[in-house]
Amino acid sequence: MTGATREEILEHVRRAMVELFEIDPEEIQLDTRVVEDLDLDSIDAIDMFVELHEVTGRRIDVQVARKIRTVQDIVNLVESELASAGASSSS
Amino acid sequence: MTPDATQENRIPVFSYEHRLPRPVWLAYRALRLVLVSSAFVWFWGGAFLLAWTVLPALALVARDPRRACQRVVRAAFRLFHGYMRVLRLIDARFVTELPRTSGPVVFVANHATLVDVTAIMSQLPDVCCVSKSVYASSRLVGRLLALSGFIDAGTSLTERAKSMDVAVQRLAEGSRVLVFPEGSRSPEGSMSEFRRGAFEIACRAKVPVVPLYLRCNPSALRKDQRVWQQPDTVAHLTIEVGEPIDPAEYGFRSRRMRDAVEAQFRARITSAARRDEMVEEAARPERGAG
Repeated sequence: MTGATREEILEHVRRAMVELFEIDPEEIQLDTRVVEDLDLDSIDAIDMFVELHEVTGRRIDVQVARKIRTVQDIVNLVESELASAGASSSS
Repeated sequence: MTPDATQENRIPVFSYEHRLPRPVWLAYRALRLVLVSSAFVWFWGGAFLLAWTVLPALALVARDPRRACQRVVRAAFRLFHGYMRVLRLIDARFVTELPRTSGPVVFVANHATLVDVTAIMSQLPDVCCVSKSVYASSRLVGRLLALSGFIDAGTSLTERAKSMDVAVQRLAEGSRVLVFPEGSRSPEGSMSEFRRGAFEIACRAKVPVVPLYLRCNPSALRKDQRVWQQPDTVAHLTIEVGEPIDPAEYGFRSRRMRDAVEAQFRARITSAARRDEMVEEAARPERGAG
């Protein structure tokens, strides 16, 4: 899904989270905090990274992943991963 | 009155201080401290010896090294608890029938005291306990834990994911897994929040969770109790085996299962603690008057 807009990425993340964690889609906004608001834990994080890995085709760096606080951070991460995936495949 | 350990600690330790003449009590206290310390020495010394002699040798020759080591460790734990029972330190007992030995299950227990792990494992065969990383990487017991099938809970995300895979694998091999979902010893008279790992393991392996309700009265070897703050009488650790809980009932959703089982534990533990308190209050009416 290279070239996806931020809205498309958010929509994808939202769908994944709804499916994985049984969360109401309305609860998932860009400024939603994943731990405090959605009550996600480390097991969820692992599931989420597996999912993101499938989307971006790239391994998510644990150090980067640790800094994730909000849904916005996830969208940013996917966006940058997609961008660098696109860059490395076109070169 | 001089400030002592019982006052430093917000939660009182069961003490004979007001029942015995002071010199007698102090001498008794000193004796108890020596006995408690001896149990520690036996445990760590024994674990170290086993881990560097019998177990590695056994691991080389046994057909199933993990289970062979587990059997030796189980016998050692039984000896350890026999020692503590004879010295009137801790008397650990299953108050319900032992669960039937067949079939893999995840045992889930509240963490009432430091030695509940050994008490449980001394009675139940073929149990792999998920342990904190500090123990798994400890110089003294790390080796023993690794050889006898303990599972390192890990600290990072990837390590934790791996530890769950190992647990699911062990269940597939027909072994049982023991988890303390609080991740550490319980605070006095209550419980920390349950983490989800134990239930996630049960959901993935599609095996039942069997609750072990523990109670230690008077409390001993709790996380906030030092070695010299142990009770003046034998601590009774009772282990009650609950009905198996099928993850299918919760649609194999570990979060739902966790919430339900945690509520079940919480109801039991708090009502039991309240009962203990009332009995203790009734037993020492003159405490407030002095």
